[in-house]
Amino acid sequence: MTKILSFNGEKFVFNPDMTILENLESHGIAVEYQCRQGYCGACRRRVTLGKVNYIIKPLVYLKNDEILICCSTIENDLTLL
Amino acid sequence: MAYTTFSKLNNDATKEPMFFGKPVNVARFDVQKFEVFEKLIEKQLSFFWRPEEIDVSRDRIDFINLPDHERHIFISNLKYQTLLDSIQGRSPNMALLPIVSLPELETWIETWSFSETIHSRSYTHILRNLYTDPSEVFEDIVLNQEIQKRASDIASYYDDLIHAVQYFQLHGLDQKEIPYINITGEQEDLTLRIMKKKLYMCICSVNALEAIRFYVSFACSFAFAERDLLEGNAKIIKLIARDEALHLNSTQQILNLWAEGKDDPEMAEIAVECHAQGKELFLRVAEQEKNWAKYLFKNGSMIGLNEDILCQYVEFISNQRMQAIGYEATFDVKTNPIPWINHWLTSDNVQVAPQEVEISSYLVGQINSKIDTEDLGNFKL
Ligand code: FES
Ligand SMILES: [Fe+2]
Ligand SMILES: [Fe+2]
Repeated sequence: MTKILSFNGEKFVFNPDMTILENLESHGIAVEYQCRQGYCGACRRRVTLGKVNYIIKPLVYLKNDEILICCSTIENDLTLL
Repeated sequence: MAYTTFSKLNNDATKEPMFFGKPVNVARFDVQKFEVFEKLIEKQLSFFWRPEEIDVSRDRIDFINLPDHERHIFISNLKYQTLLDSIQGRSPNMALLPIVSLPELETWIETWSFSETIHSRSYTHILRNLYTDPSEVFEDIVLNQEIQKRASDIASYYDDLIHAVQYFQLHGLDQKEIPYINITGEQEDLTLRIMKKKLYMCICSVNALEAIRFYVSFACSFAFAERDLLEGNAKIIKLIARDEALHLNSTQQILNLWAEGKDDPEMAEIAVECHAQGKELFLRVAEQEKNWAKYLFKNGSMIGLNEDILCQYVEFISNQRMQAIGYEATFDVKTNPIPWINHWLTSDNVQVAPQEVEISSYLVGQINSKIDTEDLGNFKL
């Protein structure tokens, strides 16, 4: 089943073989990142809808609606701020 | 309350606050209140590196060929980094170990400080290669006005806390006979809450140091390497930056755990009470870093980086860091003015962008940039 990633009003079909960050980059969208390993927090984003699955467990303090996009994929349709 | 290295009080550390609870006794990690500190320790240990593993010998030529104003930028930046790590190599231990109450946090603080001592040693490694006698550079760190301005601001929050805690350990908090004269020479009513406020401001200051000040200096180091200059130095700074990401993460954890009421309830109140003061601190750091940028580029800018861009980066990174601890972003900058810095801050293991500079961990002992006539002694024609 295809899942949809919404970011800044744009919608993309999500490629499950890549992280959210890589998905965005593959569409030419430059977003902040640093470590790409879940420990620096630079890729922290707010989610308004949906859930993520982590490939690497985040080491960063996250508030309820915050996720790290460098080490996660989406579980269902997801809207990011 | 006197410090004891091993309290005989039966103690369940999982019920203690991070700081100012019962002293830690058994260093046990089977049960933990905040597992994240143990995870940070593991990560930091897995990052272990030694300056000597990185070949910096090729930097010398680059350095000699730099125009004067760029040499000023490079060396001033290195002096500033040396100052910051001199402070960090001792202060978390001095200030925080006497008051920490969780074994996993205590060990994290020690692991953190230890990694700072590696950073300090690496500056000597870099400078020894650039100068026959690096004394002049080191000596200037305590003479240079521009560096001193920052040094006293950073040290003051640590010193203020350390001083109050030392009084508290010797005399307790009953000030009837011996009044508390604080570090600036004024009498102060010392209470537990006041010490906690000093702790809050100290952690904010450390966070600003590692999360803002250091990143400004990283930008300068990597700007040279973007032009294929001083790449040995950049390899070392890359390793330092990887460590610093963990350090600043840990102080963000502490500040957020307090603010969200997950630790000491009194610290949650203090986080609200000191919010304005904390914000002021971050803004002052941003201001100081902009002044520093002015000093760096006073004789001219370098390709890829100038005062203006560096100041925008100060604002950008300050916004990010303030938001990470629940403060509002104050500056207008929305996007990173130097996006190229990010590939320098990426962990080696997941290299996505191909890089001109070799990955240092694969290079150990493979390159010998210095060849003397002696090495050629066995060659016959
Ligand atoms: S890029 Fe560092 S946590 Fe995602
Ligand atoms: Fe450091
Ligand atoms: Fe550090």
